[in-house]
Amino acid sequence: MTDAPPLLETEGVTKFFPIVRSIQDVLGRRTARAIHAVDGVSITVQAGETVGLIGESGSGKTTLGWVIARLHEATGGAIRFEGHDVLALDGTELRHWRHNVQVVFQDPVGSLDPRLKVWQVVGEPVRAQNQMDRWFARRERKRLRAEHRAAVKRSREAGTTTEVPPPTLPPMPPRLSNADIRRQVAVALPLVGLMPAVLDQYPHEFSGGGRQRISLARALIVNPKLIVLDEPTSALDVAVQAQILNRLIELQRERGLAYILITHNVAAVRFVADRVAVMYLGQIVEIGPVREVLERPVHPYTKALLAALPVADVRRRRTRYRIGGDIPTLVDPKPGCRFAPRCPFVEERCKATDPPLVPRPGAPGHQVACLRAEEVASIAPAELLQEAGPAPALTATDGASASATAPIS
Amino acid sequence: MTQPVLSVENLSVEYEVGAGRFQAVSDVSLVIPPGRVVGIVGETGCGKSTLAQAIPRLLPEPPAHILSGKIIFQGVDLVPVPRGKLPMVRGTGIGMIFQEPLNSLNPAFRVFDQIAESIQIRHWREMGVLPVFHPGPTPWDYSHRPLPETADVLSHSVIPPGAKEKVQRKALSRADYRREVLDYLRLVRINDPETILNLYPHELSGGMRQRIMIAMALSEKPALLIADEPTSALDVTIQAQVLTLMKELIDEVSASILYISHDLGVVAETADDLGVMYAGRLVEFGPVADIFERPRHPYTKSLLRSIPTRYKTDWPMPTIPGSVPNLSLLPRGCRFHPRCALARPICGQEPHPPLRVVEGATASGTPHQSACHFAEEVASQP
Repeated sequence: MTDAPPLLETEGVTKFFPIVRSIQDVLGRRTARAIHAVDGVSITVQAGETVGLIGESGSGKTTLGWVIARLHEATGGAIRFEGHDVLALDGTELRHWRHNVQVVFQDPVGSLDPRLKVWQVVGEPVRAQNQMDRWFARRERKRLRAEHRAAVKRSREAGTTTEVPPPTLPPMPPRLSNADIRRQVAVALPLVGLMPAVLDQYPHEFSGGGRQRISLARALIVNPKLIVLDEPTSALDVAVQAQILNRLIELQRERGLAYILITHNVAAVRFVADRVAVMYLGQIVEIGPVREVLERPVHPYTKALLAALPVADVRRRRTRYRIGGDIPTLVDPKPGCRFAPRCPFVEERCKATDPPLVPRPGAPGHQVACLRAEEVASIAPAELLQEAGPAPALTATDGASASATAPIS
Repeated sequence: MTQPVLSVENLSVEYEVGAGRFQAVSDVSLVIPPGRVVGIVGETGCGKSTLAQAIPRLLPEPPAHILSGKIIFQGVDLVPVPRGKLPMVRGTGIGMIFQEPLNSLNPAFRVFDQIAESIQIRHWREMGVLPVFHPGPTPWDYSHRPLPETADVLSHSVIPPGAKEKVQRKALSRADYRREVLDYLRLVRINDPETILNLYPHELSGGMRQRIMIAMALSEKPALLIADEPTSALDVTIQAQVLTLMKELIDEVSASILYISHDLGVVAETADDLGVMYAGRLVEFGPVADIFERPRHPYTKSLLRSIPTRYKTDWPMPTIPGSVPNLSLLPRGCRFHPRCALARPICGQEPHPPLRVVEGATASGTPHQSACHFAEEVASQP
């Protein structure tokens, strides 16, 4: 177990989206620019573990999830799944690999084809994997038969009389009929708390929670090892969210699934995740065990993000420390800490060097990408209030996305 | 002045879709005193947005249709007001902030024109060019005119006394509008408003757009501001900025606010009074601190408990069994009783209990009301 490779390992994964150049840009020989959506992310996910990815929109968390599931092609870096290089896969091999990693998409309305019935939606991956299985079986049988033919030919040319034993061909998986798929779907639906009676209904007949359950059933039906949950409960009410989150944990315990939970809902991450990674502008700024990160955040961004959460507790009704300004641009970001323009603790060196993700002494597994981590660590978010005051440090990033910064007492 | 800005009495709103009809809002009563922030929370489909849009009569009629009840805004019942007169109420009387700012701002207008339009209309009304709905002294009312009779408002437009002279006044120049728009942009804490003025909505970030919406709503100087999920489409840190802004503005503009949200955390931070809706009914109403600390309706209680606050080791989280009932197939009796842990035979037999003041729940201020037969027991239950 100690030397077994982790279920998923990414190493410095990057994803850049090039910006389309106008004719003026081309004629003016301006260099091509790109949006650095994911910029050098290294994380590992062990089997049966949940890693939460939190951050604001535009922080690249969804893109990272898509890159991991190979729905986006990574621009650079390496992704290894159970020790195998995933980025090298293509064609049918890639399609066959896909059953290992499934995605539950954010929008439960947009991710279900309105013209397909539940059994068709949920059964689609089964049919696809069945095709892949048949393709591989066919290729294998073809290969064995060709080998056999060659061996027979060789023996005939050599003049030996011994029979070459016929190869033991792997069985050809039968093509699944609609009835087979319906049967499989009927087995999978109760896993997510849906009755098999809904097989012939259309997605629009379900509420948001119901649609999200269908999405989850579609992901589960091919027995994945890792599920990328992209904002699985953002569109849902708290009561329904609680049901879905409970179910997710139950499924994880039953089947040893690993999850990557992408969300801006810190409460959901707290409840579901074992480890949590905080993303800001395409980079991980802090990663560690969920209790450690959420209760003793170190990076100023994590602190600000946690302090910005509205809390359903009237006693804690207070002025919250807030980060001034919006997320700055991702187009060819300047070197230096990405959070520097909004950070209350910014120093000159922060703007010059990219802070690496370094382990914190005395806190196993907790890594922070902040040059001043140890100085900042002891400052509670409440003290940040005074620190943040009317400080000029909180300068807005640009005119169009600037906003007031001074907290009100 | 103790007259409430808005009082909704036994309002029921029905939708007629195809052959079916269902009540999205049933028998809702609530009172918004001047300068107070009243929050409404509930799950999707509980009728909170219908309520928000029914108050300024913004609902498309048909399919929506106000069955019964009164919406008394500053002493005037809005339900019988003919459609043609409704624009008098909206804008200057009742301002609205919508959930999705990109859909509610006109993409073809620059920020300046969006805000200047509402200022212009307000000015026309102040000048007497446009009819005004000004029945009572509001925080924005300069003259403290006497209250007109309801019939007056309905039969002919109320032109404020002295408006005749104001008509002679020169219309505002573009520079005046510009100054005023800048004032409002600064009010919503926009840095560098001179640049923002000339931008189109798509050039702004979500938080900025929502600020523009707030500026637009405030520039009409409404007596009542209805905010329908103003921060739900925003990121947490941006949401925190907008929430803080809303809280500051609540003190500055002294308008009453009806704050609709599905997020209990957001409401806990902004509202003074809180109403909880379930399947079209207001099931609990009272001061926000009371409701959060001592909920007196089983639904509120289980809703509060289903907010995840704990870690994986505490699995499972308490949930409410079942799901929200279909509005066209409501259970008999109390609408929550099939999912309620406290349910007894009486809950299914008696009609849905009305809101009543819970004994011994509140010391002062807004009485704590609950629509449960066993409101007194809820607090003692685990």
